[in-house]
Amino acid sequence: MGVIQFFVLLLTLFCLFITPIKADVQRVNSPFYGEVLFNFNQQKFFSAIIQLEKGLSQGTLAVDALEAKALLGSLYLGYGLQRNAEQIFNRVLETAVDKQSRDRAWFYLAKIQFQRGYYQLAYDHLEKITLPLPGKLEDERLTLTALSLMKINKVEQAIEFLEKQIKGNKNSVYARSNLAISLLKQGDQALAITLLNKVAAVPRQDAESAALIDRVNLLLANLHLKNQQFELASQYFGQIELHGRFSNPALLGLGWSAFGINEFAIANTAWSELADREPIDVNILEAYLAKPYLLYQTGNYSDSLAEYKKAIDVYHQQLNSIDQQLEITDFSELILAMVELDSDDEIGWYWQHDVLEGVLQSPYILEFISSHKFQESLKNYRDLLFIKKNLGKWLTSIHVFDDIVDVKVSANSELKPRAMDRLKQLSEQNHSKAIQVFSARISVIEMDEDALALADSTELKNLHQFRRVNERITYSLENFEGKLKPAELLGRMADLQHKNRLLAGLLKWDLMTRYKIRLRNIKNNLSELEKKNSHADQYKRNIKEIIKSLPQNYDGHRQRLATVAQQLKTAADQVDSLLQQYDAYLHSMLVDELVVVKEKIEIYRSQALLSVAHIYDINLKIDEDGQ
Amino acid sequence: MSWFYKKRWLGIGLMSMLVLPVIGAAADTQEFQSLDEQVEALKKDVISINRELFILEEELLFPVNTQTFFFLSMEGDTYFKLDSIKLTLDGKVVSNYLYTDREVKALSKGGVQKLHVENLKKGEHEVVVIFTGTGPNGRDYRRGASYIFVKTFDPKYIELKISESQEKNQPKFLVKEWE
Repeated sequence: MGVIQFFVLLLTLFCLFITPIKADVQRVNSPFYGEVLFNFNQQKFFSAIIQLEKGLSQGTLAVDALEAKALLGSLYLGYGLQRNAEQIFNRVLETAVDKQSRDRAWFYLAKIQFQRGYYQLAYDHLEKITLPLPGKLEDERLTLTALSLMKINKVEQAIEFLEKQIKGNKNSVYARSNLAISLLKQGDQALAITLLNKVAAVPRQDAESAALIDRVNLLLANLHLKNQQFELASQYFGQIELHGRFSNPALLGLGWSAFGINEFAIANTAWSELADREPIDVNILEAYLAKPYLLYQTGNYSDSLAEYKKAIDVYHQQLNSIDQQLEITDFSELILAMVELDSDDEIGWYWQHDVLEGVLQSPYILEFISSHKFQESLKNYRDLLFIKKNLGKWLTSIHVFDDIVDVKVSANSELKPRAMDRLKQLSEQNHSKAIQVFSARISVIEMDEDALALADSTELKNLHQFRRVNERITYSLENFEGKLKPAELLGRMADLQHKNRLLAGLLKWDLMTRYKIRLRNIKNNLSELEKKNSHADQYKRNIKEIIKSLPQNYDGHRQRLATVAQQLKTAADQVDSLLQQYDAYLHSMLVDELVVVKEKIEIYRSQALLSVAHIYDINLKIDEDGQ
Repeated sequence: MSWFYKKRWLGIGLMSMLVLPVIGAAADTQEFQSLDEQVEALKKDVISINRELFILEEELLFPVNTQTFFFLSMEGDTYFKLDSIKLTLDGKVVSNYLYTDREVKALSKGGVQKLHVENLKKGEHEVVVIFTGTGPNGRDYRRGASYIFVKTFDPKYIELKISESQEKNQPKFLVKEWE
């Protein structure tokens, strides 16, 4: 298999969702291999795997073994069988492909492992890359390596790696921000801030770079806020887009940084803007608390008290809503609803659940739902449901096949004896030998031009008669010569003999003249006979084929069906067990996430209640002082 | 009291903005990976079960000496966009298939569709195929093709092929034995 072919094959899979590849379409040698490609092109990975494996086992694919294996690896990847795919790729990659192609394939494998959360495995694959990748891929490889190192807590190695990367590509904003985060993890704040500032100063070119710069600004702002450098923090918060992805934490932080330098009007504007938004995020909920606190600080106790009460109401509603969701012990229906939204059964690992509206009640876990871990679990859950549905169907088909076997056995028990009888009859009527003998005889007749041999029975009888008459006359003439009287009797006998010879001669003449026609007719008849005999032979062979094709019995099929039925039942039990485990796992993930949010809101509510009590105390003291 | 109060609030404010370590993340990852591995092993088992079932089905429903496959292939999709195919075998309609865009795309990328499988007796048979779709200039397009073939005791593979004539700027339809 050529490098280009291999790449077209591998890249098709990876690029299916990104860009349509206009690869040269080559005609396949085997329709069965074409059928695999037909399913593969539609991302029906399961069907394609079955057909490919079947074709490989039956040798019907007429394709290079290596190419077929590489395709099988890609299909395994598509169906979410990462480990199996990897085994195949390891074999394929280490034996057949040149270094450049191999490096590229390792990179894509690493990318997939990283997306699936197998960071060590991703890093191991990246380590196998020996040459720089072409174009933007190299930058991606470096970023992926750094991220993998950070994910497996090899921060020092990550820093070392990123420094090298930055030396090689001074414009790499991702490398700088990643390095800064690594440094922060290590506690080197000063250097991290320097790096982050460089990234923050880069012009926004597109939505992606704008999001990155916003994120860096938020990080810088929070660092300064934590260090109580409120003015600096305020500047960074102010650079984040007002309606962008990070606008909620930015507005909250802007409020706090402005508050830190007594810029109460700015703080109030930021928090009021935030508090006017739908309470779908903890930053907004915190703004409900921050706003009355500001009013309190400026001595506006009555408005502060009202805002605190409003905040308590909101918290109360949100806590109730979360409690209601926590009371749901069976999340399977909810998860089922998410999975069932997509009706296509055969979508592979590239499937991403992105339709959430109406399914989940709590906005706080939207981000969690779209997280890698939840999505990966959801994919497995969906696959299990697909398998469960199929196992049920297949089990039903096993019963149908059992019935088919019964019908075939019954039909065979009738057909086989009939076929055997017919074969016996045909064998008894074997004319081949007679035709051979006859044909040889005809050849001799033709060679000798023996017209007499072709005479019919009357002619033969007449000839025989002539011969006998002639013999008798000859005998009479020889034995009774001189004894017979009168002499004219002898003369008459001689006449008779002459006539007899004449007639015999005529008959022979007649035979000679008819010889060619007779020979041709006989040869035509012989040829016809040979044809018929040949058809009879073919008929016999057909019957023999049918008898041969009829299984001696269907015990083998019955046994195989029973084995498959047992395997199906075992698999069905495993699916049920795994579905239960996933139910529990997904449920616990959702609950954990909700509990974290609930705890935060409870803290806010406690603070609000304490503040209300505090303002009541102040009011009471003012009243007492007034009296 | 005011400064203390202020400090406490700042603490809370910062709390929501800083990334907190996730407790139990390692155990969680282990659980995820364990379940993931189990699902992968199960999927592999299911593949081999289905493969065996698929082979059994073919052996029981379409014995080798009678099986006849009808495959659809496509070379080029410039002059014809396939909508449907009607397959008639010895005067009897055996398949009426409507194509999705996804299927047409899969065919144009070199895929081959197993349109129909039939058990046929040894001897002469006739297949008639009607291709319906959109032809050059976006017009409705309907063309037929037929083929007479002889079935022996060996499996038979018949190809229904859509290709195009660059000289005539027209699609071509052909039925023949797979070579």
